[in-house]
Amino acid sequence: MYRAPYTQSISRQNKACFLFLLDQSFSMEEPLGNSSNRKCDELVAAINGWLQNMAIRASGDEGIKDWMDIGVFGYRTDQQANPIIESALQGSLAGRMLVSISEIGGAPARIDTRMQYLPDEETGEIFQIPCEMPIWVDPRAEGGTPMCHMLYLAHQILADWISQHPRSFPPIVVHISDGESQDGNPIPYADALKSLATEDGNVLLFNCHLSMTAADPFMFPASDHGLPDELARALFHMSSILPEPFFRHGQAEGFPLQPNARGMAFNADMVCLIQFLNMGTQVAPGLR
Amino acid sequence: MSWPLASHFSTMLQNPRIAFRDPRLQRSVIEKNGQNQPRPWAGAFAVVYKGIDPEGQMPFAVRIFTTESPERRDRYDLISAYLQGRKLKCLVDFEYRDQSIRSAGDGKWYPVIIMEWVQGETLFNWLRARSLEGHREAIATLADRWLEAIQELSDNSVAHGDLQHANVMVDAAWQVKLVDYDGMCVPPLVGRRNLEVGVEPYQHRERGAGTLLSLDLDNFSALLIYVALRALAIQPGLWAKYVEQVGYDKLLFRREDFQAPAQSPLYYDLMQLGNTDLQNLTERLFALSQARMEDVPPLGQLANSYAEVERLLTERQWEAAVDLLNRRGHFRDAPARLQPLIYQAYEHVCRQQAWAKFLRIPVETSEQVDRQLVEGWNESLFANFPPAEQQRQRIVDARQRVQLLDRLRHLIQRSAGKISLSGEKGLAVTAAKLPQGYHYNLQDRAKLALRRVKCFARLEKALNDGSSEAAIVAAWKAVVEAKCEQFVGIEWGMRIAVAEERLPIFNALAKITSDLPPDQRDQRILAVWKEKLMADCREADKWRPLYQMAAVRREVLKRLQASVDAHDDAGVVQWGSKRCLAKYPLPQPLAEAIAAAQERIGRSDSLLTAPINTAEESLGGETASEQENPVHDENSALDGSESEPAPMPQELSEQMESRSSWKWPRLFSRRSKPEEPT
Repeated sequence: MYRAPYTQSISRQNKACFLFLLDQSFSMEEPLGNSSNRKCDELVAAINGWLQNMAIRASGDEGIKDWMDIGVFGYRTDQQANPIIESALQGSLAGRMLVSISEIGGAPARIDTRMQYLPDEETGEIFQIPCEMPIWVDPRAEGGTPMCHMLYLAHQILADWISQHPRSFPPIVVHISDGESQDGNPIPYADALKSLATEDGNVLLFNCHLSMTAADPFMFPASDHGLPDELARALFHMSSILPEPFFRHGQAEGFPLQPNARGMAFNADMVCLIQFLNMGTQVAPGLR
Repeated sequence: MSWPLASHFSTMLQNPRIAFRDPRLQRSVIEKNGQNQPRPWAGAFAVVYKGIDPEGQMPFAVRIFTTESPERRDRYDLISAYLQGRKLKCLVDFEYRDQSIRSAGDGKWYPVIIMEWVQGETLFNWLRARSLEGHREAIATLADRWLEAIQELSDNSVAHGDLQHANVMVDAAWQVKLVDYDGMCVPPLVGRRNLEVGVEPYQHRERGAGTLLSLDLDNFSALLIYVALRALAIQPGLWAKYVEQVGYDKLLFRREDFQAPAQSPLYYDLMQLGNTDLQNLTERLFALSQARMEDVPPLGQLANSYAEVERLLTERQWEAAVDLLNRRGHFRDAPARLQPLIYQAYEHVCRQQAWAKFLRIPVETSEQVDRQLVEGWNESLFANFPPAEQQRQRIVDARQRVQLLDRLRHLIQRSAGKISLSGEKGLAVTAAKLPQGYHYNLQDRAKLALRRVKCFARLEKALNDGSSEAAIVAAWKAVVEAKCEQFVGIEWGMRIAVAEERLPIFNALAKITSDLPPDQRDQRILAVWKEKLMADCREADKWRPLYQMAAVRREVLKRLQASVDAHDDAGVVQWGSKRCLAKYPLPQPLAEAIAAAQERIGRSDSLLTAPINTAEESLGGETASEQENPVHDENSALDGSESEPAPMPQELSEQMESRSSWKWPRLFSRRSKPEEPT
């Protein structure tokens, strides 16, 4: 019986898989978009927030349900320009390729107390609230951008995962960087990655470009016309076309999507980044 | 546009004081997990946290939405308004509050739902535990409860919209509570867009974004869960096979089962469990999964298949058949050919139950037991039932006693607190028919009635007899003690008053004994005697001669003294020789005066021969009727009496007897008395 792709509901039997590929090159030291914060700081804040959110969303009667595998990778080079591709998870999960969401929820590297500043909606008064935040990933910024190596490793990991979860909702890879690949043309690697498939559809690769400038972001473009430069166009071609459920969700969220819109964001700021990260998780069916 | 993440609210909930708008919620405490983070329970569109109200100490649920929904407010208002006052057992109270929780993302206010915290487990966890421990009975009970809950929704025109293992809670009493009303449909919402599509495989394959809300929205999911419950109640091992061992997280069924039933091992297993009802339900479930969604009938209709009932009935497994029928709640819709068998089954089961209950009644004779017997006996079930027939006489006897007891009660009630002699007699007579030593509630009252009747009879006898004032007074005392003075009329009352007055006199008389010297005896009897009171008193008759003797003596002594004082020797001799003074210890001067007078008269030559006085005979008869002072007519009384109409007290009779043979001298006849001695 035919069933539309990207509709397999996620459960303990048909787990989901999310892979985050984080650019950890030296340029991530620069401030992001409209803020004074470093890109690498904003990125790990977004990733830590995402992990925390997913752990909450997977919580049930008996703690966290084991229905999702997650990999968080960083890529950079050492001083001799050797690529360093490794799990960005810290603490007891350090070094693990893929971990389950229950392991994530149960083992943050540490709990940081951060001051949260909040404006009161009605009075404008600023609250200062100490909050305890679980931390899994720490910021890093050194060396170059070995993007092809990263995509190659992602391919290996997902090929293996898919062989064990052939009926699952396809893995979603979210790649966040701020510049060009420095170890070759990433498009063939990206294509190889996207060609992996479960019975429910192909692996989805979403790319997010973080910008230092406060230019207007491009979210989910449908063609490479009008994209500002080669880097943007390369990311466009690396990115998956949004499948039907994602497309509908994006529209419902208020994005003016054209047919064949791709899972890509260019010149993204913190707000865009978070929206982008949540795109996948809010669409995957049955995340409950 | 962008709704906060669950983590934004979670961060906020670390500080309820800032997170909430409501002051009471601000003071509440949110339950934390091992990492000191608020402990979440996530659903598809919301995350629930457990709060403890500092004032009531009552736990409550804070339900925070993780997605935006423009109609949510409106729908919840309509649902609230509809459910207001309906109070469904399977639903919990909730309150939708706009602008109530702050997000840590943007600091803005967002809505929450505050609801009753359901103490219990999700259906999934509950069923997992019961299945793994093989608790068939619990699961069968829950299947019934499920049917009831679905029926309750249906009776109230409510559809939950998202029935699944995590939205159904089971409490400690195995009661079903439904939570998460985001997808609920009530009559005012029928025909609106369906904002969520529920969870696979609980929902029909046609359920989708285009489905409109209807009151039949739960039909398929309710049936699927019911079949899973029934199946696990029969074979709990299915859980291990289809859930536990394969790491599945739904109740047995999966989408693939419905896509190709022929290849579904679950379908095969369910059909092989040997339960016709389950087979029918399974077939219906799989068939309906392929039918149009609107053709799926309500669970209540489907659950009432009679195949299994019929099998049990034909195998004469009456208990099992009745058990199954009871779980359905009714059997109006049973096929006509089954009706007689169903009645037979119920009759059998009722008889067994009634008989078992009857046999538990203790073997003893008391009101309690008799009433239990009468109540426990079911003639229509027990007639011609041999073990019961053997006990029939016991019931007949018990019934008779219970009738008597009821009559007693009726008599007491009818008297309305006022007692009467006839009423008490009725009670006593009725109670007397109960066996000796029989224990019953009105026993004390019946005893009192008997006591009253008896003491009244005693009083009546004492009064009629009239021979003993003491008996009358004692009987009256008993009447007073039994608190039934009102039975005694005014005439009796007067007679009793007289008896009460006489009694101390008799008591005093009783102390006058024969060993007392006559002068003292006279003194005492004259002091206590009240002639007016003693008149017409038969009991006084035995004392009267003694009193009369004392009275006569007093008069004789008075006249003797007068003659002495007047130096009338003839008078002195006449009075001094009265028979009543014989053996009477005269004072010394009087005795000497008599002796001197006799000597003086003896010395003279003229001895008189006086006619014999016969006064004593006639006086004796007359003094008995004397009302006033018996010595008023001196001639008739002064000689004292020899006639003894009344029996004499024993202590005095000897003395009196010794004198009765003695004859008064003729000299002191009545006729000679008026003449003054010369």
